Amino acid sequence: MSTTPTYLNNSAHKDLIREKWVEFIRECVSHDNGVGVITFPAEEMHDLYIFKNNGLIDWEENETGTLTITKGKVVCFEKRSKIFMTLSTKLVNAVVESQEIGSHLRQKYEGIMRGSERIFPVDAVNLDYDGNISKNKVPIDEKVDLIFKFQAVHKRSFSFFMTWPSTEDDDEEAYKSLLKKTISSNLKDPSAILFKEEFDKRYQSIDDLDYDNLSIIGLTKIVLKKASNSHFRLVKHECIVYGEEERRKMYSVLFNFEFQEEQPENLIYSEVVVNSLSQVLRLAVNS
Amino acid sequence: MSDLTDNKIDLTLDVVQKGRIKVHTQIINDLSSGIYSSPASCIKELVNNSYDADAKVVTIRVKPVHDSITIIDDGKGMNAVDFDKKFAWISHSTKRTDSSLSEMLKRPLIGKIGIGFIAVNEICHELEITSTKKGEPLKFTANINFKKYFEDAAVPDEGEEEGIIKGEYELVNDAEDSDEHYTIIRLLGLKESVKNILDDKQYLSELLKKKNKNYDKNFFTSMKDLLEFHTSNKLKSFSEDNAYVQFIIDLASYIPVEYIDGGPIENANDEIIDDIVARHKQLDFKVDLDGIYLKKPIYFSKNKDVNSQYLSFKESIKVPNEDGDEIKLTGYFYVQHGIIFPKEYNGVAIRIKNVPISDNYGFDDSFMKFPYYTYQLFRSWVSGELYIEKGLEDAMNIDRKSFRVTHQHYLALQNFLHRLLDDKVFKMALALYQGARDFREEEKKNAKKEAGRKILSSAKVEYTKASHPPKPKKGSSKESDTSEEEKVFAPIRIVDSSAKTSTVEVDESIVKKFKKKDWEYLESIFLIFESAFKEADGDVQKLRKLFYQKVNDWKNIKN
Repeated sequence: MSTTPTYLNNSAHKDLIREKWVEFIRECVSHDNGVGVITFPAEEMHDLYIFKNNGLIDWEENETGTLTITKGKVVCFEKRSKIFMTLSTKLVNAVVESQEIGSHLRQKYEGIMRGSERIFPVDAVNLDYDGNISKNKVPIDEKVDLIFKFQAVHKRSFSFFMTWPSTEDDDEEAYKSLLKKTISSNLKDPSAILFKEEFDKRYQSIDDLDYDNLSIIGLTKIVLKKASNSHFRLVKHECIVYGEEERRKMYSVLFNFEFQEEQPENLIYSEVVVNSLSQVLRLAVNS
Repeated sequence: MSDLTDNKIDLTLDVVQKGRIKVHTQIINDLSSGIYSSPASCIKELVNNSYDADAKVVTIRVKPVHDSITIIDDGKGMNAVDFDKKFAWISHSTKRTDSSLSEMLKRPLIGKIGIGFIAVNEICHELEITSTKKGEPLKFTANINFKKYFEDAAVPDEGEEEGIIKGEYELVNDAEDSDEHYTIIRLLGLKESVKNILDDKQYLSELLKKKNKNYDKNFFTSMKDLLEFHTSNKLKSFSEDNAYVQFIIDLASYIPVEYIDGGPIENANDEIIDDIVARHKQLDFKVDLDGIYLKKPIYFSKNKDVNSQYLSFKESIKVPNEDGDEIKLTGYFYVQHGIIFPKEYNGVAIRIKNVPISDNYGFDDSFMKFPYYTYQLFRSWVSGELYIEKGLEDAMNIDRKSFRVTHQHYLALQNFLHRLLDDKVFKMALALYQGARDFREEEKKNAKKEAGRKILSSAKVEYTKASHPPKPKKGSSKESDTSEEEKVFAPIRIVDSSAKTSTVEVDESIVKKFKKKDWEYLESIFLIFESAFKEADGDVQKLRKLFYQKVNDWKNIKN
């Protein structure tokens, strides 16, 4: 039986977040027959080991020293050739794609919407970036939108996680303005009064937001908007900012979504905005 | 009709006219798509390219059958210029002209014609290749769209007299660690028919159903495991098995990998065969397909119920041509008493650079067109491999699956093979056949003797009134009870007799121990009894006397 390797370049904070991923998935779906995950596991495959050790997926070791997935579905994205090779070699019966996830989803749009592509549905999407998320070809809002659309084709509730580093000095202006524009339009949204009240207590304008809050609030709002557009209701969420000395500050958001076909999307969105955004703000500020 | 060509040919009488012969560009499409007959034969081209590029490990990922197949090797790799000059120039392989051995590991090169990559257009719509060479801090990624390749017209390449432009590729260079060397090929947009072949979900569910029949598994753990499963199903041919299993065996048959452990002939104590096996190991070439190492799927196991023999040889054949060419080869033949299963092993595999030149998993069951009328019975009893070490390469056709049968090398090898079959191999089969026949006759004789001994031994054939065998004594072993039983009881007993009738009882407990041959003797005994019964005419004492007398007479005749 394989054991979890010693985590390299790891931290207690990241371990905590990984445990939370497991907790969210367990609460979201029945995992007796394994879960389907989309992930960026990197060479160490920490998340996959955690999922395996918690019974969410399983594998058997082969004569070639590789691992055949025997329970659950594993879909990995890795555009760095060397890591792509490592994952492709190490994992059998797992989908390993060499494109950036956004480009892949955009390219396969029609096939996925028709249901002929087999990546979707999944039970968890774990976008665990260690690089700048503003520099990808496909903007983050489009990427998130595609994920919710594809899950909606199969009416599948799921866990959605995003982790990304604070890269303020290096972030693209287009990305920054997307975050600001998203928050700004939310402040004008009559269904987001509670959020506006909380916001107004602390800030004069959006420009007063520090980068941590801009990132967390902006990304969270993007996710929630895209989720409600595809009839997904927020069931649970958590936002964490973490970091240690000499390491980059990291942001992590975790959500559980339930597919709600009958409810109109604007109603879902209003509910989400009222019930969650104010908490997001507080959590972000407190952290 | 003169407008058919640009040659200005007209219908003028008695004037010599000259024209140029033209080839339609469609032939490029035909050649590009019609050469390879199965997904395995397409992919083996890429694996053999990796071998020629000095790769030690090739990883192939097919499962889960999705939209792509990935092939990764740790060979010497390419840069963008190499790609343009070699990989993307079909049928312009420089592999053989540079050297007949690979650069680093000095392997005999397999690729000759240089059409390897185009083979895969049969199974996918797009090919993506990423590669880097050791010592160069960059890699490239190129994409070839096969749909466009077939749509684009072929036009002469102005820069290269020998070239024709056909299709396009897109290429991007990127930074890479200069210590790295690899090639990644991704076959994207798999065709639906290919997905159906490769998808073994249904097959695995059948396997799972067999859980209680010694197979509790989700996937095969090795080639040997896969073959054992095949044989456990008593299938006579690979073609009766699932398409995914056929794909694996097909692929493994055409690449220079090691034999299955113990193969090709279990417990063969033969220097030449050992040398063939060792040479494969020395190639240091492994192919990991979905977690199992592909191995040459040839394994004749030692079966105590089947008589077999083998013959190995190392030969040098003179080709009767002006150049005085020579063909060097080594090989073996395995002969067994009875048909070889799976039947795809039947025939001869002629291997050039380790790769068999034949369809049908590498074996030619016509034995290079051995005369049909000769040794018909024994053809299906024979399997052999010829490793060609020198010569014959020019006799190969472009598909590497057949020979030009008029080529002098082919004819010389054919002559050698047919003589070998005639002089030795089929003679071995004949000897096995005759040996088996003698053995069968001897067995028959022994069986008759044994039956006679059992039935006619006067100590055993005795009248008894006991209706059942005696119960075993306490403490006595089962074995000794049985032998006691045999000593005391005959299978027939006269249990009742009167002036007009006699009742003969057949004791089933003993009868069941008798073989078919014994029953022939029993029938004789019954006939003797019937004859004595008629003659005795109701006299019991006379019947007994006549019966034993006739039995003894018959005994004397048999002996």
